[in-house]
Parts: sequence; structure tokens; C-alpha cells
Amino acid sequence: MRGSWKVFAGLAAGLAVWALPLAAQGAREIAPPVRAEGLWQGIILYDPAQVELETTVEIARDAQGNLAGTIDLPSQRMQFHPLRDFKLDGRRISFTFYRDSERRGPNSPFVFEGEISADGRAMEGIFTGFYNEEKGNDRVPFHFERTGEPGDERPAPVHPAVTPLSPAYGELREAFNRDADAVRILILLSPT
Amino acid sequence: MVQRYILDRIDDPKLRIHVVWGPMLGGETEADAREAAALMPDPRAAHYWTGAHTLAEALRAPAGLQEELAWDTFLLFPRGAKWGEEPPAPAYVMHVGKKLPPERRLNGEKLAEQVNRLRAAR
Repeated sequence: MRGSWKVFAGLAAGLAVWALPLAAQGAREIAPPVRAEGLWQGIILYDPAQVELETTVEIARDAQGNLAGTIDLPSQRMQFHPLRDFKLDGRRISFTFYRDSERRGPNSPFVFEGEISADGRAMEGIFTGFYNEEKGNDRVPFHFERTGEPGDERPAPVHPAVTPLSPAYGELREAFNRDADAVRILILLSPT
Repeated sequence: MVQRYILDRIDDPKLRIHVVWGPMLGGETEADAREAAALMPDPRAAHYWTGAHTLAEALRAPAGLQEELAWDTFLLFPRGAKWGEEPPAPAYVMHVGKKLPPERRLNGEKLAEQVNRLRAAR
């Protein structure tokens, strides 16, 4: 009997110890921690279906165990640009890169604030930094998916051939007519 | 955007994209074009560089523009369209920031719809 009581008392104490932190948390929901480390790829939806910026973010732990990482934004000609100011609280995450901004001046912060999904496969939230004149703000959504681990081999970028056009752009005209049995889109763009 | 909404989604080996990179803002270089071409690596896309505005002028009227050059325009052509002395008239035009109807402002979903409409036409 005494033994049973001891078992009961031990269980009760254990439950109390376990339950106390939960009670202390009160109304504040704390999401279970997830790993932020990984290779993340996705888009910044600057203007959905109009301007969507492909993005690669690599997050790892440095020698001190702190989160560190880099970002690639090919449309901005950024590759392995350092990320700083990491904060991870449960599933909430934020990090920043600094870069000169025409609008905001040198070394301006560009901030990602988001949440990692419970299964750790996706990260989404709000990116602040690229001002959208039409919308009148600089806050746009981003969505990344975990595609690998930090340090994973990345596919080498493909650099297609670029044909210089002659003054009468005959090269384009010939190629256009050669594909006359195809639906074609002709696009004129600035490369910067 | 074209890579993501058109080339990644429309698995048609016949579809062709011709991208002409040029000095829309002034100061762009051929090296810039080589960098930018990597954003659209699909083999169905052919990339060109021009240092002049001649082509953008020639496409002004076909794009429906009055004064502006045809930089930042997306011109869609059906099968059978031929480029003779003058560029053919496109079946559909989208743009970025031009004095054209706002509903023609570049939108990947809409452009893909129009591409599929032309692909379905026989």
C-alpha cells in the first residue's frame, strides 16, 4: 500500500512539475521549436503574377551555434549575400540583409518576418524593404520551401547564349519566321 | 515571370520566346544581358542583345503605343505570323507601365491564358 502511495505521489509530483510551465504560459501559445537550418527556395511576391522574385536562402549554425545564412536574389544580382539578426522563437523566425537602397540610403535593412510550418517544410511571412510605388508600401509576402540542407550542392545556373542583333535585327526576324508554326512571344526588356 | 508562369507551366515544345534585352533605361550592357538571360534558361527561349532603340521603335505601332518605345512589352503572335519588311501585328500585348489599357498590364496568369488560347486555335 505504502509503495502504491509513493508511486501515486511520485506521479502527481511529476504531473505538477510538467503542468506548471504549461500553466505559466497561460494564454501565450508557444509553438514547438522547429529547425530553421536548411536550404530554402521560393519567391518574394512583390506584385503577384507580375513581379515575383525568385529567392534562395541558406541557413546554418555557425561555430558558436548561432544561426547564420546567406540569400541569393538573382533579379537583384545578389548571391551569397549575408543574412544577419536572426531570431527564432518557436516557429516564428526573422532575419535581415543589409544593402544600399536608392530610397532609404546606404546599408538599409531588408527584413523577413515569418513562420516555419509545423512540419518544417515551408516558411512564409512578410518581407519588408522593396518599396512598391503603386501599392504605397514596402511590405510584401514571401513563401519559401525547404529544398535541402545547408551546404547542399546547388544546381549551377544556366547561362543561355545571347545573340547580338545587327542594326536591321535580321537574326531575330529569321528566327521568328523559322518558328512560324509556333505560338511566339516577343519580349523587349532591360536587363537591369 | 515568363519562366514561372509560361515556360514552367506550358509543356509545349513548339512554344517559342524571343527576348530582346536592350538599353531601356540607358547604360545597360551586353554583359548585363548575359546575366539577365540566366533568369529565363528554358531552351525554348532565345536571347538577343541590342544596343539601339531601332527595334523598340519599329514595334511601337504594332504594340499600340503612340509615343513610347516598345520596351517592357510582351507581344504574343499566333502560328503563321510572318515578319516581312515590317513586324507583324501581335494577337495580344501586355506591358509594364505604358500608356496602354491597365487590364493589359503584365500578369503571368493572363498571359498564360492568352498563350493557351492561341495554342488551342487551329
